[in-house]
Amino acid sequence: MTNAERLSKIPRYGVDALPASPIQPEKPCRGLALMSRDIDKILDFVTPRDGMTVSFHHHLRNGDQVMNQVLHALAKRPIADLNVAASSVFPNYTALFDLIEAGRVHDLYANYVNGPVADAIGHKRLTGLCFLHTHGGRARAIECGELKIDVAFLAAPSVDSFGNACGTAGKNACGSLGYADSDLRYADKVVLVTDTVMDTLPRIDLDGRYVDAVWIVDSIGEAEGIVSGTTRITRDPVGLAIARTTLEVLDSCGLIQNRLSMQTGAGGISLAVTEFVKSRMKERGLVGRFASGGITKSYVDMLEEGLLERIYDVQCFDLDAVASLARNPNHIAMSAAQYAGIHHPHPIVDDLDFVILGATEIDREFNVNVATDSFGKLIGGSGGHADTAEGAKVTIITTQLIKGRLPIVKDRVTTITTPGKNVDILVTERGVAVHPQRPDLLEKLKASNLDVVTIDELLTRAHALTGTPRAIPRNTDVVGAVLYRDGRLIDTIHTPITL
Amino acid sequence: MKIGIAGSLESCDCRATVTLAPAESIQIQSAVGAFFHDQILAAVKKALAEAGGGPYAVKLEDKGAYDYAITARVLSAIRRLSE
Amino acid sequence: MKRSLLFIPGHRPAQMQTADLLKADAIVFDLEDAVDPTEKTAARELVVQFLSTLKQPAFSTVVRINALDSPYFEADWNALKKVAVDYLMVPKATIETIKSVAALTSIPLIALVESAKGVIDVDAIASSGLVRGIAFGAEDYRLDMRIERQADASELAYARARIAVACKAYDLFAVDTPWIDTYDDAGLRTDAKRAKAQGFRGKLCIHPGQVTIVHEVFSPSKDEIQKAKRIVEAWNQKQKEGVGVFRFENKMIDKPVAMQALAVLEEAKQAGWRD
Repeated sequence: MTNAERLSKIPRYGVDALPASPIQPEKPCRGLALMSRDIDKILDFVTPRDGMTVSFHHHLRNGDQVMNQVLHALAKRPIADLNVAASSVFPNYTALFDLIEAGRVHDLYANYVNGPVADAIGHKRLTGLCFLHTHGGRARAIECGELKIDVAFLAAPSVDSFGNACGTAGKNACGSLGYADSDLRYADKVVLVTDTVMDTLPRIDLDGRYVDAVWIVDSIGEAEGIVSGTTRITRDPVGLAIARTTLEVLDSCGLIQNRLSMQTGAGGISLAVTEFVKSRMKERGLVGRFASGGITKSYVDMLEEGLLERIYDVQCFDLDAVASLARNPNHIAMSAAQYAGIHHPHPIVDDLDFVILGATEIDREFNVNVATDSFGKLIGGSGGHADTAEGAKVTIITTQLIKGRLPIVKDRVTTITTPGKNVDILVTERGVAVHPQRPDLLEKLKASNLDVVTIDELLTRAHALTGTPRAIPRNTDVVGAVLYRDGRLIDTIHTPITL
Repeated sequence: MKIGIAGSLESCDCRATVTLAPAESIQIQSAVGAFFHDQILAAVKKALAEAGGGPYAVKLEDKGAYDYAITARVLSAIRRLSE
Repeated sequence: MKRSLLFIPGHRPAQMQTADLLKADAIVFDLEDAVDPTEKTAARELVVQFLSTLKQPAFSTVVRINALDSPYFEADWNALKKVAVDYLMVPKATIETIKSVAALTSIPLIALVESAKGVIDVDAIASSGLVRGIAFGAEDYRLDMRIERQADASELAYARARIAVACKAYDLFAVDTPWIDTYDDAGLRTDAKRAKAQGFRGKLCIHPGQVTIVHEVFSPSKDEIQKAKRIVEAWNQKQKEGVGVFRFENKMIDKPVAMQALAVLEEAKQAGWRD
């Protein structure tokens, strides 16, 4: 089947009916068969073959060295048409880049792709396609049998002799292993990769019953790099102004109150918003039910200062979060399925009062792009964006109206990752816009003295400063697909426009 | 050969490099040229019209500068030619 | 209102084109100290081109030109002839430099007093009819005076008092020196309060983060507004009764006090207060 034929078989979001999400039986548990420092023994054990699908999680982020070491060894075997299901791909994943450039990778499944691998995909180096999932959507695809994994290679900061793994102990502890859970329970073979074997683990994050082999290495990653990719709270006056406005938007909408539940993205503006919300809650003596998602020190402080009852953690973004997870019973790890899977009985995202997210582009219909830039170059992916936007009662996008000379608000986004009907409010430094489907929020905001305008007016304001950009059609060559959290195709990724 | 240079390659700025030439030429390298080429060209031409003299060969390396900054940088580069 | 005058260096487009977001009452486009000599030509052109894009900005526009005795002054005032700008800020101001600049341009002037001679000349500058406001630059003043910075700013009290009093006498606005420890918000607040206590109506700012604090200090507080409101209401009532002077909340209220209360309410309204 050609790529086009494959894509045509996927049900389309907004057109075709919601596919079923039948949860499949878990993998057969055969018991831990092998623990070794010898990668060749490990690879022989998992019997690599052409067209196999291997998977990895990205909890060590840009400091990860597990994927590099595994793929480096796999590359020496005569395997072609490798399919890689990485929950995310970061710039340091050079072994994957090398394999792709060598034409040996067929499909790539990921929730976020950035760096040389993203560029290679844009240059049509995959022999198949790049499928972008959401965090919840990847879990669903794995657990409902759409994405079958032959071998999962899961970085495990520490393991015991039974093959149990712990994320908060070890030479390179990364905290929650939320993105590894589906792979663990559904991949045909599971190999843990660790640099720390302990007699007794302080807690068990991955159940050893599902583990077939353990590969012991000198290091699973670089400690400094592990907390890379997290941003610092913005110091830019414009970013701070947006964050302050966002706080007032939240307050005017009645969202800063007792028992609130919240999630914010990891960007500089989002982190500032978290700090401002924390101060406002402190001023009023409020206590929230929980915060969720990727966890930073800001949330740990809120938990410890009694501003939150619980944290639900799918990923730790800094070492403070790791330490808190290790010691605080109210800091709870969750799997991607528990977090955001529509196939899960009660995903956490459905319980969110509000979520603060970013955007590379947003259009007149409030559709959001977080996968590509305005040239169509792959620079990210939904991650938890589409999941939280659909689940939360109020979804707020915070972004500068203009970056460099490019307006972020556009006639039409280059790539849709989150549909506009799940987006409620846009906050920029030059005005706030409310989706027409939320007259309740619009009324509350109009009663404040915030600068509330239509999204069309924001476009006009942007163009008044930048000039009206030429509308450039996408290239026709398709290199990937954006899959919505329910498995339907919501957009395609194309080769980027070059000058 | 005398060269006038003004501006920088910081975001939202541009660098204009100007020399005297037998005929006017404008070369634009812009991060956002796909979207704003016409406006960038017009801003360069506005500067050339305001400056008079020439003809000039203009090279513009643009990092998303607005029109006013492009015009200013080209004018300054021309001014530096005669300094 | 002239509560905040925020300096923006004149050689960087990125900061200039987002200056309006910073909510300062006035933006001072700096061609002088913030701009390296190698960039003076380019900064001048950039500011001129940028000013020509502004249509009815919410802030007042000020350009700090280079000093009269610098090689850049002439080109500065020539260039600024072709744009609309609300004020020129004249650095190192003395009565002589102010008179010379005023002879060359009809753009309203703000005198930046930053030397001993400047302080001595403050009365002459204020009464000359040639300036709309006087700003104080303590860094260069201290250098000139060869004095050290004190923790309580006592070394500046005399200069501040002369400027504030002269401005009040001749109905000019007085702008205090910038607070240079940009990481020290508490220090900024204290220093702004000192300036307010001496009669300044605003402060020069050198970092966007200073604007909010300066506005808080130089705008009437909630208490001041409520008190002024009560006085005005009582005054209006007494006026109806034909009473010109009366006792209210342990204070004597006569016309000047009532007018002062009205002025406070007017200031509050300009700062965004709604009754």
